[in-house]
Amino acid sequence: MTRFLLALIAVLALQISPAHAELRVDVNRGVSEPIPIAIADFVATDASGGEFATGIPQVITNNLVGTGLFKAIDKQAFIQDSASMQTQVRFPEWKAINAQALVTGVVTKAADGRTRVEFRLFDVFGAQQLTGMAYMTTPQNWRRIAHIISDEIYKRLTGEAGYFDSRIVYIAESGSVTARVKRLAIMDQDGANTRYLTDGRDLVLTPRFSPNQHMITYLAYVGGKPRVYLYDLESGRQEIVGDFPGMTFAPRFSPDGTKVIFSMAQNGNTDIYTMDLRSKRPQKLTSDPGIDTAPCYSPDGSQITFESDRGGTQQVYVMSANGGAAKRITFGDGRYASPVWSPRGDLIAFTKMYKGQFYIGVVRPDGSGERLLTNGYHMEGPTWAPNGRVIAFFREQGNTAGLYSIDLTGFNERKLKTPGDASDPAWSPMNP
Amino acid sequence: MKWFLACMAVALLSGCVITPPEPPLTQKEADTLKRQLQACWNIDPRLMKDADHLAVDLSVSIDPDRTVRAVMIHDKKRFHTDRAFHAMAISALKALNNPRCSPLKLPPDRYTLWRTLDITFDPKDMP
Repeated sequence: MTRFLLALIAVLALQISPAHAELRVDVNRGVSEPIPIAIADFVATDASGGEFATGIPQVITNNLVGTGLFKAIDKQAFIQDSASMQTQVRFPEWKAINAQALVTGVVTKAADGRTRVEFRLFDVFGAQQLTGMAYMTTPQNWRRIAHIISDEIYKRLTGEAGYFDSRIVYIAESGSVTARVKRLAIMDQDGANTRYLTDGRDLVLTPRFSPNQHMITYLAYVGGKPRVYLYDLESGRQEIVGDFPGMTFAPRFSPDGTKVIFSMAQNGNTDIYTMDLRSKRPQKLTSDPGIDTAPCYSPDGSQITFESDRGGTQQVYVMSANGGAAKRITFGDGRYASPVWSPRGDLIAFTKMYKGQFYIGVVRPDGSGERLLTNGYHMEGPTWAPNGRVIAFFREQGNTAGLYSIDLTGFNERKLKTPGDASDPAWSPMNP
Repeated sequence: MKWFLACMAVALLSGCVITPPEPPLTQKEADTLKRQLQACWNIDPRLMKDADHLAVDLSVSIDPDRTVRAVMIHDKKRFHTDRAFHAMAISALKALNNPRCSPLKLPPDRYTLWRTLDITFDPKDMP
């Protein structure tokens, strides 16, 4: 009996163990292709929505395809029409044309005259809705709604914040090389809604947004004197930042918008100053005999990065926002300039000059991990998209200058649409 | 003799212990599955700079018709805290959900062998 029980236990023990070890498969490579996405025309419930029903999907398409991460499927290939999708999406028909994601929407006119825009994003393979939202807006504001929807789609499909509902301020250039006219201009990030803020009488450079986008600070040569100015976007009013004896330049707002940081040249020396916009009191942050300029705050406001030739060549440094000792963070060949802290805080973008070439690159704030993203004959002025994944800059080729964007990995360099020549871009935070 | 008969009876009832172990997937079968998944795995090129530490380990339950029933990500904590890992894991899940990878190219008559697979998606060999 004892032997029988022992045998039974042995048998049961064997039975409990899995009959097979689990199989293991290593997949060590894949493909890198844009995600095929079907963006259908929205359905307009009355004639007033017709323009938006095609315009909104077109703006969404341009935004997503422009990232290089998505491929829009030709509408001619669609099997199911927009109207029938409002009752039921027939996923096999979208799978058949290899759509991985599907966007649909409806535009209706509300009783108060406003427009209601509703969209849905579907995962075709998973046969499920990923997200859906509705917005009320004025008819004039439809492009902004398209950007907000683009951001939602981008976020759901890539896991990262978007950057489409944002603007770019830049210098619009015209005229001959010897009589160049430079005007302050602002546009949506996709080049739409360009507006000129100055008339070109005075030379303007290096515009930067305030964090709430109500103001722009920039350099203007008024009466031949270079000075830092503020431009109120709502009122159009311009005012000088302080009445300083020396030339002031390279301005930028602090992350809380209460201060402007800039350089001032005085008696042959250039140092970095801040000025509190309420008290108008300046504070000197550097006092090195070298040229200290192009200051930019870290997103938490605790540190500043700037360029200086204090070590013998033009390099990028980091120091406390209150001044004090500065730590050099660039050590490669050539000169480094115009550092800009990422909104994420993890990287600093810069312009590098080496052997007659210009480069746009990034480095960690501790000086490690330097990477060059793109290069050319003359390129400068990096500025971060609000999600910290894309950098815009300007490039001069021959007698023309234009704005470009590039992904943080050096992927997908694209020219941004501007009505004419353009330089000195500054990307806004996300629209409030 | 009594003991032997009893033991045999239990063994027959249990149904599995006397079955000889199934041979593993052949190299050809494993390569076929691997190639199929590689073609379905679309990796965001922006993740490639961190590719050396973004391997994603999954346990995949498969139905007899060779379609994926359920997937479990081993490192759930990292999935919820590391953005790059999250994006890489999502790309692996999408690969398993891709119609081009359904059904999986597995030997149909050997379900007990592949009802559960451990799959590692590791882009280390990407150019």
